Amino acid sequence: MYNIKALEEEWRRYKRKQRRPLLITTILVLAIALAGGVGYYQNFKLETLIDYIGKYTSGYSSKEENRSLVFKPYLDQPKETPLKHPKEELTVDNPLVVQPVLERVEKKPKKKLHIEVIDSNGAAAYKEVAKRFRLGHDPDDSLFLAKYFYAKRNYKKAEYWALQTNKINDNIEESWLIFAKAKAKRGYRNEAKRILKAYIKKTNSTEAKVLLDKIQKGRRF
Amino acid sequence: MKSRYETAKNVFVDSVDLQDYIELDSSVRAYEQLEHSINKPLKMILLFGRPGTGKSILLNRLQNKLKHQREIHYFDTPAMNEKEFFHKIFKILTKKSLPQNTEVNFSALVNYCKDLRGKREIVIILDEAQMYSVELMEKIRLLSDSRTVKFIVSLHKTEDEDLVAKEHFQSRIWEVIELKNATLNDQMAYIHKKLLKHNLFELANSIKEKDMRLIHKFTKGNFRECNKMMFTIFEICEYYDKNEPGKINYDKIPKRVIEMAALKLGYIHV
Repeated sequence: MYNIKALEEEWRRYKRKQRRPLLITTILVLAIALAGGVGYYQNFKLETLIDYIGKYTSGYSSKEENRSLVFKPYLDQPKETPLKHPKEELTVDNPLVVQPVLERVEKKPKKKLHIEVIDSNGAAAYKEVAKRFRLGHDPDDSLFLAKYFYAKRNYKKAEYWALQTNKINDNIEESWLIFAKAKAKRGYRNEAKRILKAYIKKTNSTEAKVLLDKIQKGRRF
Repeated sequence: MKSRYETAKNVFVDSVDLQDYIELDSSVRAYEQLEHSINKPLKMILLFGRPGTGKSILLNRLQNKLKHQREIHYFDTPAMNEKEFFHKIFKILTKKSLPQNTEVNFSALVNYCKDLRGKREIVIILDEAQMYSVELMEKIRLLSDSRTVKFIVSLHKTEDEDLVAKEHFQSRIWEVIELKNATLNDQMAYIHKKLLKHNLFELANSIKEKDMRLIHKFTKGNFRECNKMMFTIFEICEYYDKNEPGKINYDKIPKRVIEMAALKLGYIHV
């Protein structure tokens, strides 16, 4: 019988030797990849630095814009204004909350892309519409969300999105009606009546009158 | 209780035992070619191949099969000297022993053979013929010219022995049969058949095709090397079976064991 232990040890050495070329190749490949990566990163940093210095010393130019690969998206993109829920800021005298609307005079051409999203039932689709609204401030988007949340009986969100619609365009009757109905559903019936009265005073809307009547008489709407 | 690995190990003890003869496609072909050549009116037949290609067992089988049909004699080991060789030839031809303190007169022997022409046809198989001297080979050639004695000369195929073959047999030998190392399929069949012959079915099954490829790679299809390899593999398995059973898988031969055997036999080196 052989000395198996010695043979096992010899076999281990053989395997180590057998694996050595593979190990060396792997290390080499990794080293080359790492060197490549470091080189690319350094080049990338240098380019950004040149770009940065160029922008802050000689200002923007169309040429520089083309050259910069890194800062362009961030510098060119307008900062997104956080939209806050105004909550109880509404008054009887000023139910339309026109001030924010006036600040946003510039309106972009309406996009009807949300129609495609309406067909989708996924929650992700609504998030996508909300995201799109924050970028485009399209009242169709916010009205769509207001209707959606109202139908889902999420009245707080419905109220929020109706208000966002009103801020951009205060002539959308449906948005006002949802806003008033959501307020009423949440228990703020007096506020809902106040809003409707102010709206009726301004537009003499029959729909608003009917809704006001229902709220006053405690009927279902 | 005897380990099954111990039994398997002994199956591969290298020997020229007809009981262990395994019929393979290549050996069957060589045998048929040899038998066919004997029936031809040839003076000498050369069987050559590298050591371990199965020449001896093939010649042994030939002698064993034909011994009842014709006069066939097998010289498995070369004679120590000419005297001993011709003593053997004398005994075959005359069926008598040479008297003590006498030597064979070669010229008389050749004449005796010539006289026997047409009356008897004797086949003499000379294994390991590379060990005969050049002079003796020349005398063997002269004997074969009598057409009474037909020689089957078995040679190892090495570069030097090729030279011997060229020098002494090229113009005289009419039939040359070469045995080559086994192909992968032949070697697989050889190992399986050997194990199955000893009812070691499970062990035969435990050697998978990839193991066979590895064994064939190490042994290059040489039967003698294959026997050595299989013997060593089963000996290592036997050790594990008896001492460290956790290291052995009974369903298959671990690659580690095959490589250890190859290291042991010097097929691979650290």
